[in-house]
Parts: sequence; structure tokens; C-alpha cells
Amino acid sequence: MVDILSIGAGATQLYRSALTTVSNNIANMNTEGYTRQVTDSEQSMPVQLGGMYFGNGSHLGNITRAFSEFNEGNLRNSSSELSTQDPLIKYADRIVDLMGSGTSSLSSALDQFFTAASNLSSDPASRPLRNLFLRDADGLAIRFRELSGQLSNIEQETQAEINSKLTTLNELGKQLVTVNEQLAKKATLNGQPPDLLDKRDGILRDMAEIAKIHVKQTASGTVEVKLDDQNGTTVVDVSRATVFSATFDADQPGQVEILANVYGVASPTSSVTGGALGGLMNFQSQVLAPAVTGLNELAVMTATEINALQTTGVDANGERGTTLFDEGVATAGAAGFTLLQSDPDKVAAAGLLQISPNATNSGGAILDYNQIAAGTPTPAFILNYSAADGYNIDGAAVAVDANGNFTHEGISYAFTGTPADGDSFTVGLNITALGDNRNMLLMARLQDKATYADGRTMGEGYLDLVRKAGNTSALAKISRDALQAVHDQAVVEKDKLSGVSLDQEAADLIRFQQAYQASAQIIQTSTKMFDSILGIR
Amino acid sequence: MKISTSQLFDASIAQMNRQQSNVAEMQAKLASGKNLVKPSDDAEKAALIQRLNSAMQRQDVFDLSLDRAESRLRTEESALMGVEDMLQRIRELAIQGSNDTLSNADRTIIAKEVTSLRDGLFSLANTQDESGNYIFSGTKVKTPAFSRDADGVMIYEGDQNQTSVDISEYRQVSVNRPGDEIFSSVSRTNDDGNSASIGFFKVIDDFIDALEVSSGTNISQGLEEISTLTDDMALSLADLGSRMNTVDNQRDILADTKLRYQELLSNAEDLDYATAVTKLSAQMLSLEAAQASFAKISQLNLFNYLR
Repeated sequence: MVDILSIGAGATQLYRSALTTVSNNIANMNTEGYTRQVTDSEQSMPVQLGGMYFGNGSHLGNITRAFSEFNEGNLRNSSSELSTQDPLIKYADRIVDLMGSGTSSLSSALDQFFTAASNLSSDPASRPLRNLFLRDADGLAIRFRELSGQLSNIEQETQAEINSKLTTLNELGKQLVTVNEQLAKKATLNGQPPDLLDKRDGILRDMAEIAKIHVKQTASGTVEVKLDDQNGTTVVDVSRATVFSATFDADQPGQVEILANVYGVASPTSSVTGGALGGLMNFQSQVLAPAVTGLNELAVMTATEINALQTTGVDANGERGTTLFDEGVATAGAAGFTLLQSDPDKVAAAGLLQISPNATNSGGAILDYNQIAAGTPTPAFILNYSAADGYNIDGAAVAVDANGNFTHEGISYAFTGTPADGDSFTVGLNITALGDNRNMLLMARLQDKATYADGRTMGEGYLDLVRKAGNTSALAKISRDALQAVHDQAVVEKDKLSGVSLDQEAADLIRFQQAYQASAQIIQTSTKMFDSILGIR
Repeated sequence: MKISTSQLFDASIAQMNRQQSNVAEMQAKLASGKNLVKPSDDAEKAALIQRLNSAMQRQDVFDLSLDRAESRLRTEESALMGVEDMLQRIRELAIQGSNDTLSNADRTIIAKEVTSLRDGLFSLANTQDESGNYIFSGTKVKTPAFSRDADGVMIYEGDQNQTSVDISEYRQVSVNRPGDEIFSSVSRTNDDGNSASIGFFKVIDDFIDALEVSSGTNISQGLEEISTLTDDMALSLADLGSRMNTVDNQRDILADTKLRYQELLSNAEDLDYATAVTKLSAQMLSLEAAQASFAKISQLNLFNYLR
């Protein structure tokens, strides 16, 4: 016979548990990573009496998490993708702000330098202007070094951040192994304590924020984690965590290698994508490396161009100029951009050569030279012309073409007009021309010179570096906004199932309270029935 | 659809934070008057602004070069005007001196005046600009253009180089002419029939000698040669005038160019206040709406009715 008392007792127990679960949900509504728990009730085995079955009440089935593996996976992936963008934007913006602001950018230092050159060209004999030129040349050198220093600070910061993210990842790996060990004690997922599973999912979410991971769950709820996808390097298998470390190539900015250390042997990992780690590595390779190499390239170009002019000119002492900037920049990059000259008289404002027609020349022809390549030795010769024998230098014939052009010892010369028989021209170092500004004019015109192979000037080349960093950051911002929407959706989806809503809990509280009261009433009724039987006399 | 309580709070807070940062950003723009508070707000625009700033600075440099060129040319002009006046006077004296009715004593007096005019010309030929550069020495600017050698012969000490300065990306103006071109030579046929080039000051010196000895032929030769020098000087002045014109023209062009760049820069960099203020009020309105609705919605809870 079915026992009403035991049905009542079972039901009160069940609803007591249900009310406990609801209270627990309310208590944990603000707990990070808490998954709403649900009480499952089950019908008890019916009792057969003759040909009929009597229901035998209900009992507590299980307390489970309101959880969807699919929603959780979505959330993990979307947070990996979203957290890729943040470090990329943060650091790329710093580079743009550093290189693009009016005060700290190279553009203003370049402008300043060329302004000084231009001013000096209008009065090359002026000592104050020569001093200003040197001061602004030093300003340019300092700006190159400052920018290079700031970029390497940013590089070091991102390297430190990569290391700290890897430390966190290693730590999370260890925690996950501990959780796995606990989970392995039970054979099925159903038997696992919900808080342990919440903890496991929390660790996995934290891991996903560091790098994109692939998670495989076993029947008992233990997990194996790999980087990127199912073929990636193992982060955690059931009982062992990989220790990750990073190495940075000191010579090549932006070169990062992540090493996985299993059983004490370090080996390269599969690709690391997504997550903060992926973002940092993207920043290093896509933003930092081009900025650093671009700046170094520009430094070498600038020093070479300016030195080339300085060494093919004549200074205020009437001597051929020596290099203005240290040529070590070719190996040291922008960090080695230093001014060598401190004496304003050493600025080579004058053209290299003085070409004087002989005082007795009657032809009125003028001889001039074209720009001289760096390293060409200073010539000294007399060019003679005779109507019968043509042109000669020291008796050796010189071939002058129909346009009056010829080349001698690596320097090309051009005649304007035609010389007369017996005319001669003396070519030599321009030793007395303090007021000559030919070289300084060329210096000032470097500002417009197509220095890059593709025709850009130095200033444009620099701004392109700023633009490149800015574009990466702008793209990342667009991606971030899109991914934020995806992530928000994933949060909402997960929350719909797993979040705690006070309204819902309030309703459940009333529902289970009433059910509990009704169950208690069953016990009361059963007592009364029993009393009725006992009362028969 | 169920929305969990903590999600409701989180989402509202995130929303209000976003609104607040928009308002703060707009406030920073209004406070600075610039469209771009940081270069990272729009790197493309920041690069454009830097380019325009460079171009503006470039134009300022040309402005300065024009000032320098003009002051050099003005110095040259005032020297050349002086030279022309003196040559005119010498020419008048030459005409006067070639008059047969004049006595030798009269000619000596004329010779004296010409001598003092010659000294005046000599000092004008060694004119210096405001930085102390000799303007007629070519590029040997620290050397006086003319001096007398041991034999008392006036010689040119400068060189033949012309200095030009850039007054735009594509235009140069030369700011000096070698002294021996300005103080030009004349060609004189000697007694032996050969022609020789005679320097500016030698012509005047010879003329003074001719006056002192009252040599009729030499005086008339002097008159002829001095006329040539006067004509040459007029040409030099005309050449100078054309260079000064170039400077003036370029100044107008430069002013236009600068104005254009200023406009472009202002477009790129300056904030449109009307739009910005309107945007700010819209943003503030939506922030207030978010706050007000949050305050109301957050009080809705079933527990409030369970008493």
C-alpha cells in the first residue's frame, strides 16, 4: 500500500532542497563565474497493487548547473578574439601619439633643420646662422635618438607584458591540472560538484583571454586544452601542464618565439593566435617592427644624404667639409644618430670647386660643375682650349661633347658659351668663398628631394610610418567594435541560461514555498488519517 | 528572454561609461578648439596636419629669404643709384672739360672734383650690407671688392660667383652681381692698334690725368668712355630692377600660398563649434536618459511585492 506519510516526507525534503538551491542562487547572484543551479525532481518508482500502479511521490534527482557547452565555447572564442584587439590598439596608439604629435615627432625636427639650412643659405658668412644650423642639426639627431629610445621602451614593455601573460597562462595551467585531478575522481559529469565545474570554466575563460584555445572535454568533465585548434601545442592534458616561455631576438625588433617546455625540453609552439598574447605579438610584428625598421632606415638615409652634401662642400676655413653625423648610424640605427661637429666654421656651406676663367680669356664661356658624388676626390687642374687641338688637361686631350659637357675624374662639367682660342680655366678647391651658398642651397632642397626609391621625401616617408601604425590601430578599433558586439551577444546568450535573475528566483521561492507547505499538509493529513483509524473503538 | 540581474546592472554601467567617455572626449575637443585631441584619434588626419604645418613653415622660410634678398637688393640699389648720380656728374664735368674755352687752371679744378667723385665711387664699390658682407665681392664677402695695389692701380679682389637664394620651391633670385661686372670695363684701342680692356677706375684715373695735363684727345676719349660706363650702369640698374620685381611678385604669390595653406590647415585641425556643441548636448541628453532609466528600472524587482 502506498504510504502517504512517506510521500509527504519525501516531498518536503525535495522542496527543502529546492528552496536551498534557490537561496544559493540568490546568494551567488553577484559571484563571478557562478552558474545558476537547478533542482531536478524525479518521480519515485510506482507501487503495483493488483493490476494497478500507484504513484509513490517524488524525490530529489540531482542538482545541476543551467549550462550549455555550446554557449560557453562561443563565449570563450569571442573573448579570445576581443582581447586580441586591446593590446594592439593600446600600444599602436601610443606609437601614433609619440610619432605623430607636433612636439615629439621627427617632422618638426626635420622642418627645423631645413629651415636653418635655408636661412644659412641666404647669408652663409654669418656665424650666428652657422651656430643655429648646428644647433638644429643637433636637435634632429636628438629627436632621432629620443624616438628610437621611446620605441625601444615600448618594445620592452610589450615584452614584459608577453612574459607576464605567459606566467599567468602557466599558473592557470597548473590550476587546471588540480581541477582535472579532482574531476577525475568521478566517472561521469553528472556526479561532479557544480562549483568545481564553474571553477574549471572560469580557468578556461581566463586562458582564452590570454590565447585562443581548443578545449576537449572527457566523459568525467576533465579537459584537455590545446593552443589555437585541435592540432595545436598542448597547454594542459588531463594531468600535466605545459610551461611556456618567450624568447626575443635582440637584433630583430618584433621577433618573438614562444617555447613550450614539456619534461624539461623546450620546443617551439604551434602558432599562437588570439587573446592578449596574440594581440601583443601582432603589435610587435605589425606595428612595432615596421616602425623601428622604418625609423632606422630613415635615420641612415638622412645621415647619408646630409653627410654626402657636407663632404662635397667647403667650410668657412676653406677646407673640404667632413661628416656632420656619425656614420655609425648605418649599424646602430636611429639610436646612433649623433652630431659630430661643434665648430660652426666646419659647416660646409660653399660649393666644392672654384672654377676661374683665366683673366685673359676672350671667349666669355663659363664653366660649371654638376653635383658631386660623396667620396669623389677634390680635383685640381687647368683646362686649356685651342682652336686647333681642342680641349686638354696637362696635355691630355679631353672629350667635350656637342653640348659642352665632359667628365673628368668622376665629376661632370658643363660649358655655357664657347671658349675662344687660347682660353683656359682653373679648377680647384673653393678656398676663399665664404659667401658661397651653393652647398647650403642643396642642403635646404633636400627637404623636397625624392630620397626614397619610390619617390617620397624624407618627411613623407616619416609620416607614412605614423600612418601605417595609425591604420593598424584604426582597423583594430573597427574589429574591436564588431567583436565587442559578438562578445556581448555571447554573454547575453550564456546569461539567458546560466545567469541569476532575482525575479525568477523570487517566483521560484514562492513556488517552492507553497509546494513545501502543501507537502507538509500531506503529512498532517496522513497523521489525521492514522488518528482516525486509532480513534475507532 | 531572461535577463539576469547582474547582467542588467553590468550592461547599464557599460552603457553609461561609454556615454560618459563620449561626453569627456567632446569636452576635450571643445576645450582645446581642435578637432584632434591626440594624433591616435585619427592618424591619417594627424599626418595631414603635420604635412600642412611643414608646408607652412616652408613658406615662412621663403618669406624670410625674400626679406633677406630684398634688403640685399635695396643695399645694392642705393649703391648703384649713388654710382649713377656720380657718373652723371663726371660726365657733365667731362663735357665741360672738353670745352676749348676752358683754361688749364679751370681743368685742374674740374680734375679735383672728379678725383673726389672717384673716391666716392670707390667707397660705394666697397659697400657692405647689414651683416658686414661686401656686396660687390662675389662670394668673397669678407674681402673689400676693390683695392689699390702697390702701383696704385685699382684691382678687383672679388670672384665671379653669383649667389642666389631660393624664394620658392621652383624659383631663385640672385642677390649679388660680381663687382667687375657692375663696375664694368671698356674696350680701348691703343696707339698700336690693339684693343685692350680697361677697368672702371682706370678709365676715371686716366680721365683725371688727361684733365690735369689738358690733353684734348684724352679728354674726349675719357668723355666717350665715361658715357659708356654710364650706359652700362643704367643697364645694371635695369637688371637690378627686374630682380626686385621678381621679389615683389613672389611676395604676392607667397601671401596667396600661405593663405591657402592656412585655410587647409584650419579645415583639418580646427573644431567646428556649432556642430560640436550640438553633438555635446545630444550626448549629454542620452547620458541623462541612461542614468534616469537605470535609476527607475533597477528598482523593479519582484521581491518588492513579497511582503
